[in-house]
Formats: sequence, C-alpha cells, structure tokens
Amino acid sequence: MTAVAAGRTASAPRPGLLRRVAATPSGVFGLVVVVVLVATALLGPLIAPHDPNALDIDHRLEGPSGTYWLGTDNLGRDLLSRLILGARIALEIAVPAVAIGVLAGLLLGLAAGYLGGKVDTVVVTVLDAVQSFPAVVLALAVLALLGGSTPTIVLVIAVAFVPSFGRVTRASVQSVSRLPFVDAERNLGAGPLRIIWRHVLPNVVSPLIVLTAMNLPSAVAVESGLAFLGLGVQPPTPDWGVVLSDGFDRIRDSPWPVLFTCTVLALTTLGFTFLGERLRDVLDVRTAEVR
Amino acid sequence: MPAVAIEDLTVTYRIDGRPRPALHDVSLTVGDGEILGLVGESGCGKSTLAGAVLKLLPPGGEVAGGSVTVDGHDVFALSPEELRRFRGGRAAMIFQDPFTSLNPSFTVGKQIALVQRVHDADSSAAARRERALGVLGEVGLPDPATVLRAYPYQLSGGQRQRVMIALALLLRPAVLIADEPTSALDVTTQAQILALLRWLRDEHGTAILFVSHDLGSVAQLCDRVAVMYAGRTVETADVADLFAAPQHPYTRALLGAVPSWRRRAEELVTIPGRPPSLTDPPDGCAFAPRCPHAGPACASAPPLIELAGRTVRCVLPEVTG
Amino acid sequence: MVRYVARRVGVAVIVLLLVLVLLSVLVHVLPGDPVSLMLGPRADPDLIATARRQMDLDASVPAQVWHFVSGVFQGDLGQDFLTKRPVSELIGAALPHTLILAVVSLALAVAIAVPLAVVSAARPGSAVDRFLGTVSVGVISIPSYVIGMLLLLLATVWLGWLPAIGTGDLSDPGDYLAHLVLPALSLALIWAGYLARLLRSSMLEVLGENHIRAARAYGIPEWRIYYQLALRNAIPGVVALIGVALGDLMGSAIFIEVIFTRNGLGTLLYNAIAERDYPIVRGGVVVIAVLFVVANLLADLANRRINPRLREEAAA
Repeated sequence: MTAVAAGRTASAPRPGLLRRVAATPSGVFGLVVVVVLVATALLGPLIAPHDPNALDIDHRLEGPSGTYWLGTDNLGRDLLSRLILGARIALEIAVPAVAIGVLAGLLLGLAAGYLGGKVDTVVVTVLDAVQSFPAVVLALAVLALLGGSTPTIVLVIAVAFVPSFGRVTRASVQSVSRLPFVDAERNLGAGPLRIIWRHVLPNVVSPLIVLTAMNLPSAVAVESGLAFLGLGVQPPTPDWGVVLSDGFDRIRDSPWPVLFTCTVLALTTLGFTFLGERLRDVLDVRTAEVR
Repeated sequence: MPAVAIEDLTVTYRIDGRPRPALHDVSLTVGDGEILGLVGESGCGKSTLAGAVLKLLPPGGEVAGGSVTVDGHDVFALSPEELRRFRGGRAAMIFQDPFTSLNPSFTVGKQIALVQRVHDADSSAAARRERALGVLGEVGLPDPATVLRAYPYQLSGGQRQRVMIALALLLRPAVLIADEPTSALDVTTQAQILALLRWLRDEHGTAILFVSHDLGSVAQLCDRVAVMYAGRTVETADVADLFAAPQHPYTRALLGAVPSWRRRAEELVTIPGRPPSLTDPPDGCAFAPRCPHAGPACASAPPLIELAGRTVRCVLPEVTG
Repeated sequence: MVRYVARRVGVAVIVLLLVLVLLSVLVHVLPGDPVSLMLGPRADPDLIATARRQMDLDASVPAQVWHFVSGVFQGDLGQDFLTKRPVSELIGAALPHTLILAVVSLALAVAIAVPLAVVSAARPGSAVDRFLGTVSVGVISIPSYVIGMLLLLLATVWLGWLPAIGTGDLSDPGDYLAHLVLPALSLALIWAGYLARLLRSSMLEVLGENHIRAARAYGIPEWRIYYQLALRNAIPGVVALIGVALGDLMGSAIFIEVIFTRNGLGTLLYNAIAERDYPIVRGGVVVIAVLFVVANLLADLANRRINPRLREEAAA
C-alpha cells in the first residue's frame, strides 16, 4: 500500500517495527523511558510510597533516607511520591495537547493539500503566522493574566504544535495527489474521502508518528516550564515544574529536590527524543523538517 | 623525463564497506610540453585518474597500488605540507563546472589573493595584485581590474572558466590537469578555451592532461590520446593515428558512434549494452560482452600490446595483426 | 533591496499590532479577571473599583485596545499598579542587563559551537561526531531550565565557584563580570547546542560542493578550507533556520535569568507574574514580542544580505 513513485515521504509502519526500533542503544533507551513513564503515570497513586501531599515538617529538606527514598521537599513531602504523581500530570497535559495539535494539523493539512487554491493559501499563511509568531510569549501572557486552568494550558500548548503537523500533512497530501495512479483513481470516480483513506493517510502516518514523538517532550518541557514560572498548574499539585520551583526556592538548603526533578525531566525529554529519532530512521522519514 | 608518469595505478572506492577498484593498473605518460587527451564514457575512471595525479580523491577513495610521478616527484610519497605546496604549485587542476567551482561568497580578487598568500607568504600585496592582473590578462579577460572586484555570480560561464584557468596558472605549474573544462560551455566559448589551452602549451610549455568525452575537442587540441574503458586504458596513440585508424573495438565503436552531419540520413549508432558496474567486475576483457568480435581468448584479461607507436589492450588477431 | 526591507518591516509592524490588540482583547475573551487575581477574591470593593479604573478595565473593549495601543506608540506601557512607577521605566532599567547577557552569551555560544561543528563536519560519522551529536540533541531536547539548574548546582553547591546570586553593579565592571560569567556560560552552552547542530549540517552541505574540491586542488590548507572558505558559505544556512529556534532561544534566556537571579526582563516578568502585576506583565510581553519580531526580521534581512545564492538569483 505504500506509494510507489518518487514523492513518497515515508514508508508505512511495517510489522516488526518494535524490534527495529530497539536495535540501537538510543532506541532501547527511548522505549524503556517511555514505557516506564507511561506505567508510572497510569499506576501513579498505587505505587507511590507516601501521599504526595502529606506534610512532615520535622523531616523537611532531608536527603534520601530509608523512609523517603529521594528525600523530602520544603514542606516535608515525599519527593519520590510527588515525582511519581508528576508523571501523570505531565502526560495528562502533554498528551491531549499534542493530540489536539495532531488532529487540528491533520485537518488543516488535508484541507490545504487536497482543496488547494485559496484554502491552501489561507491555511499556509495562518500556519506561517502562528509558527513565526511568539506564541509562547502569548501563552505566557494569557496564563499570567487569567490563571491556568488545565484546559487553557492544554489548548495554549496545542496551538504551538499545529503548524508542524499541518505542514507535514499538507506536504504528504501534495506528493500523493500528484502520483499518476492516484490521478487515475480520481478519474475513475473515486471520491476525496476514499483517496484520503487509501492513499494519503498511510503515507502521512509515519511522519506524524515521528513528529508526535518529537513534540511530546516539547510539550512536557513547556508545561513544566510554565508551571515553574508560576503559570500553568498551581501548587500544591505535584507537577514537575512546581516541584522544581519549590526546590529552587530552597536550593541552598537542600539540592536534592532540584537534582532529582531535573534528572526526571531530563530522562523524560531525552527518552522521547531518542525514540523519535530512532523512529524517524526506521520509518525512513525524510521530511521531518519541512518548512 | 616525462612531465607526468603514471605507473600501474590502482584506485579503489569503498562501497558498502568493501573496496571496489575504479582504476586497474593504469599506466600513462604525458611528455614535457605535450597535450594528452583522455577519453571514455562516464564512469570509466578518467576523472578519478585526473584527480589522482594531485592525490585528490573523493571520500572513500584510496590508492591501492602504483605510483604517480610529476616532474620527477613521487606524488604519493609527499608529506601533507609538501602535497599542499605541490597542488597549485607544480601541478594544477581545472574543473568541469565553472558555475560551481568558484567560491560564491568571495570576490575573484580575494580568491586569487588567497591562493597567492598560501603559496608565497612573503610577497607584498601590491606585487600580488600586479601578478593577478597580469594572469587575468593572459587568459584573455579584457578588463582584469573589474573582474578582480567581481563576485562569481556576476561573471559569465566563459569568464568564470578563464578565472579558474588563471587560478591554475598563478604559480606557473609544469602540469595542468583539465577535467572536462569545456563540457559546460557553449560551442563558441569552448573554442576560445581550447585556443587558450593550446596557447598555454605553446607559450609556457605546460604539459596538459585533457580529460574529455568530446572527441571533437580532443581531435582539435591533443597530441596524443588515451582511451579508457572500465578503469583501464584500452588504447593509446598519436591523435592522427587514432582517428584515422582506430584499432581497439571499443575505440572503433566510439568513433563510429559520433554523429556526423555528412551521414545525416543514418540512424544514431550506439554501442549496445552498458559498461560493467564497479561492484560486479567481469573476469576477462571488460569490453567482451559488448564487443562484436569477442571470442574464447577474451575470457582472460587481455594484456597491453605494443604496436607501432601505440598500445592496445586486446588479444584479437584482427587487432594485433 | 530597499523595497524588500520596507515590506518586511511593514509585515513586522502588522504582526506587532496584532499582538498588542490580542493582548488587550484577551482579557475579555477568556475566563478570569486580572484584578481579582491580583488583589485576591476578598479584596475591598472600593479597592477593586479603583484598580479597575486605574487599569482602564471599565472602558469598552475597543476603547481599551485603542488606549493601550496608542499608548505604546508613545512609549507609555502603563503603570505598575503596586508601586505606581511607569512600566516603561521598570523595563528600561531591566532591559540593558538582558541585552548584555544575550550579546555575551551569543559570542560565547559561537566560540563554542564553531570549532565543534567543524570537527563534526570534518569527520562525519566518526565517534567524535556521534558523541557531539548526542550531546547537542541532549541540550536541545532537555529543557533549558533543567540545564541551567544543573549548572547552578554544579557550580555553586558542589564547587563553590563564583557568586551565583544577583547581577552585580554595572559601575564596578569586575564585579559585574564575575556575576555575568555563570549565567552567560550556561546560556551559551544551551545556545551552542542549537548552533552547532545547524552549523554542522550546513557545513556538510557546503563541503560537498565543487568549490571546496577546487580549493584543495589549489593547495589551500585544510584549516583555511574549514574556517574561512566553508564556514563563510555555511552561515546563511544557519541564519535561515535560526528563526525557527528563536522562540526556544529567547525562552531559555528568560529561564537563565530567573535561575541565576539576575536582573533583567525575565526576572522582572517572573516577579510580576508571581505578584499578578498585570500592567508589568502586559508591558513585558509587549517588549518581548517586539524583540522577537525584530530578531526574526534581522535574521531574515541578514540572510538576504549574506546569502550569495539569493544574490545570484536576483542578478539572473
């Protein structure tokens, strides 16, 4: 089902994908990180040794110990439990944000690529504007002025990802549309939906998968960053950014909260990025940097 | 002593991790003040050979055997610093595409000055400028001062090629390697560049290795010609002899394939088949699969036979007499 | 060329105007009330009314937008509600520190990135190249505040180096520089990650071009080929792509300022957010948007100017 002539942007995922991804150290690392992260997020409260919001003032700002494996924060809360819950929060925001970005980008890209003409021009201009626009700055303003409810945060982050997904989809549609046998099918009366379903979507799946893997760490980074600045998720919710911010305030007293939170954030973002790069190599996506 | 002596040169390219021969035991000489033409199809190794004279091989290319001696110096035995001074100094090269062979971000003047500075750090800026203007004038550019100030994109193809030749001449090399210098130019400009090359030899005694796939230019310019096929020389002869009476079947086929407007009504003649690929070299004569006279003797690699004043790599009795 | 500049500046101005309008309008479109966020839900009603009047929130939306936008063009970015000082004054005091940090960090970043990119491009696929590649991927994907934080920990908590807190006084250059080193180095490392990667791919492209082969044939030494001939041609490729990374680069600057407690636009914004000081946030965002658009514009114009290929097309 893969497009045959020159102009295909990627090969559709074949069976054995997992094995090929895991063929390199970076691929394995990425897979492990993602699996651990998702498991932690799903199991959250079940595996956390303590209540993440339970205070223990007498033992605040202590380093790792038998009771508190990663130590405690400025209010005596167990760091490990907070970080575990933080995984869930990070994904709760990042995944919907990227998902909305994919969906919106996909629709816009399909519209632009397939309908062409004025629709295409408008969509491209809008995507260009959003991409070169200081969207994060606007996000800052929005959240600063109006407080950060979760839906708002998700939407604001999603907007930032729409252009990249939109472009990739549009490029795929355009390259597939030009293939002779697609043209032939169109002449035989195949409607746009059928063409999209049978030809465009398989071609676009791979770049979208790669882009998703690459954008998820960005989403987590942005969301934690916003929380760190005091926007986004608010304390006492144990978002990683919040834990980092609390730790930063008392960095002189105990480096552990900052250290462990940084490690967790670094591993998460690296893991997803390596996975994305490995997927890109395996799926042979060449247009990951479409401008 | 010949200007260039290539002996049993073998060059390999690393393809898929394994070295594949692109040149097999090639031997050639270019005499002092001689213009030697090197012809062959794309992929026959002539550009590799041209680069090898300056030890300029693309990534993955290695010298696997043989030697190249220029003006008495063993090129492959030079230290990196000596090699650097050798290039441009004792032997220089001009390339096929004048449109991409000059650095687009620097003026002609800067590029010339750079080559001068690299080879002769002591000369003054004024002396260098004098010399640059002089060389540009020598290659036939009418307004050298303007050219010095110009960026490559402001010059025509012919002008750029002349600039390249000027760069090659700056240090008065004894040998010039010209790798298809006229292929990208229109016919009129081609003729001018060819005239310039001949003038070089006549006026300065520069030996020239003229690589080309254009038999017409070769016939006009060269004293002797070497024909290459699949990484080997198959025939070398004086130019008049070669064109009048080609011996090797490949040479005959090549000359037969040149369209002539005298024979307009005939079909375009081609040589059936394709040259062997680098990854799958044949045993025996490389041309045998496409040769109309191939016989059982061709199953083993033919040696180079010397006939009166020329060499031919063939064992057929019709050829060797 | 002049027409192109004029056109680009025009577009930039329009974008900025849109930002300004959007900022003013957003307050009304999305749920939430800046005043109650600022003063708390149990504030005195009179105080709330005063605040609303001060911040011009009672006027109709179009009127508010007009007031703000026209004010901006006159240099008036509103007034800090809590201290009554003009926002432009506060920003004016903070901005130079940010600019100094940016310039110094950029210089350091280039100094770090160029040799690394050359080494990588000279031997693509080698162990060094792959190692540097992994490091730069790491730097780019790990959030900048994480890197900054780790560097802060490393330098101060474990090694006890250099004063990490504060900015120092400009009137005492030595002291100022001492305070500048750590933040500038951290930001430079982050920026170098992006730069090195972009530069490497641009260099690889250039090194494959014919004029490089020709330069070798003329006996130009390798170091000149990389640092003089190839680099000059690789720069446009980097500048062209910098625009995409600009948001990240500016964001990292803000985080570094906050982490190293350095005076500047970032810290100003951070504190204003913490105190819900709406006028400062709004003014700060406007300035950042201006900087962003200007930087994009400069990159675009610079690219046009130094990219020989574009000039070639123009001449054709």
